[in-house]
Amino acid sequence: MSDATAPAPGDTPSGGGPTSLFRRLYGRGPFHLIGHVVVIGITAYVLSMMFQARFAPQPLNLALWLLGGAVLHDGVFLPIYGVLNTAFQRATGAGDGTSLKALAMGPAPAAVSTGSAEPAAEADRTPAEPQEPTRDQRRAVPLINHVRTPVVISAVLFLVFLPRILDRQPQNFVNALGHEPPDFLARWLFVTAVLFAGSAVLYGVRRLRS
Amino acid sequence: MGLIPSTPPPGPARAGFWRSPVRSAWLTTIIGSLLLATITIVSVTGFLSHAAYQPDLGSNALVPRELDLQLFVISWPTSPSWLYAFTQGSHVTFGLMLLPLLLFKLWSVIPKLFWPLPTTPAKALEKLATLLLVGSALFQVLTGLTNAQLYYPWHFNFVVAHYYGAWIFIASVVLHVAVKFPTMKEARRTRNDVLGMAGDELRSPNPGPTTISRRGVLGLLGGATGAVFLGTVGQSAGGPLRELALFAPRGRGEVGPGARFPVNKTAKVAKITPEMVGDGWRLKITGPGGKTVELSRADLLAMRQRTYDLPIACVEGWSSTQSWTGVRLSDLAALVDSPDSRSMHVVSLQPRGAFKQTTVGRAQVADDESLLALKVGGDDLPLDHGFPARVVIPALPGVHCTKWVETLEFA
Repeated sequence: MSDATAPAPGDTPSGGGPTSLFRRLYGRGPFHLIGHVVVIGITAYVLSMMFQARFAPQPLNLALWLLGGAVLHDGVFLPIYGVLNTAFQRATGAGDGTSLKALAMGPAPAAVSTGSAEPAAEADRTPAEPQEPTRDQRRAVPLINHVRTPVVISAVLFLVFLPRILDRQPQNFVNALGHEPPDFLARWLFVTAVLFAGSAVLYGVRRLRS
Repeated sequence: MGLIPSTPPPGPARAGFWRSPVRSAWLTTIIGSLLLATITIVSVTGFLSHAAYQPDLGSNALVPRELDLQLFVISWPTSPSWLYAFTQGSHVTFGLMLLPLLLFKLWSVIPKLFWPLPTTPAKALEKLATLLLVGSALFQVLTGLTNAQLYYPWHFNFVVAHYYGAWIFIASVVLHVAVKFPTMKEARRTRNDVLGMAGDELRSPNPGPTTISRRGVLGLLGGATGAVFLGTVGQSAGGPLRELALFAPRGRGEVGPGARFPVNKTAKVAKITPEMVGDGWRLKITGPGGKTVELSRADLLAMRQRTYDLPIACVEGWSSTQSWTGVRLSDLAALVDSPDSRSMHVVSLQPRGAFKQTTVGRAQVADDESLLALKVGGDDLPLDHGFPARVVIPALPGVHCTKWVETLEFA
């Protein structure tokens, strides 16, 4: 099976000899294997210390923290962004009318070069070019980015400062600092309101000028 | 192919699900380079944070000393006095900024954690390495940002897990950069190519209409990262930026009654009672030869007083520079015939807690600005800041500037 990515360091041009056999069996050059074995070895050694019972009395809890982020991100959160973005584009007419079902099933046949017997497989191999925006699209003021910008900045602030924004009974905070914390939720709502208002004003100004 | 189905199930596993036309090796290379620079800052300052606790002295080590991979234990300096405020403030501020950088970077690549299934041993190892990379990256960022915000939603030792998690993360990043370096180099050259890079796996096979430019994506990343920066940096940088630190727990300097500047642990929590620090309080100083001196607060105030502006800097990232007045540690060492002390062990009145005692090194005892502080800002120390006496040493982590001092043992 050929690999479409650029060669990794240490990969040698294919030819005869032991390297070629290694590449056929393993799939990449020997340095690829060495690098991965070293990193996996360091990880195994480090985990043996992190998981000692005196540091991690509940090993399952530590395992969930170590793996949960990656699995939840790739399996849940990232697909949700994609679906939300498409749904928003459909709602505002900014998209090309792709339904959520079509999104889940893969490329629409029209998006794939004609004459292929196997559209999905063909699409996997041949990335198509992004469509250039039409003249009308370029001249129109895109509403979507005036929504995206405050949504993304506000969501990032929420995620980063989530412990303080959502911790409504912050005993650690009171114990440590000796006073009730400021209302971080109100601050976040205020910043979010300012971001949306600023973006809306900018949108209005751009509409008037266009 | 045999056992492995050639078509993934409908949904995110299909490459056609990912339609953004801005995804490309070029964009990922730019975001990845920004992320790599930030990771470098956070890693270096993280290892410096480990060294600043001087784990080679006394009972300072939070990661037990017999455990391996503690390579960067250096003798921590006392100059410049803002050193720890700077390194730890950078660690926390840039560490928080890692979250948006990481989310944008992960968004920019079509996720391959679950699909396609590996067809060669090399691809299986790559998948495992990706899981280690993404898993440890999110682990480090999420444990760090919750800990810096005084929220501890886990059942493991944070210091050990965060320290060793860093090794998995850094090893995975080094491998990832080594594997992707040729792709990055090629992608950088293709910035203006209409067709982009040949065989660019990151291009959508089913691109949707263009609604944002690559510059727009980078602008959005800059906005999100900048908002996190402005929401935090003032807690360590101070000045006018402090007013903007809306989201840092101690950012804008809100304090309890009489505290003047942020408190890390109140007297109440440390179980310090007024009787313990009343007129009966005596500071006990011992020297290497066994000489012992006991001093009242009046005795200490009768000694030569020095005043220095020094920052008090917390591992959680905040810092505050105050004007401290008190007796030089070297003057106290001289009282017990220990003019050239190798170390000083400090014990607090507080009955419990990881930092009820600490040990500092030769440089810390010898520095002219190292004080047993009796006053701050010209007034007696508030009880929450360590009355009747606390240690203040330039460039030392705040938790090692022991409050409510009971004993100083010079060795």
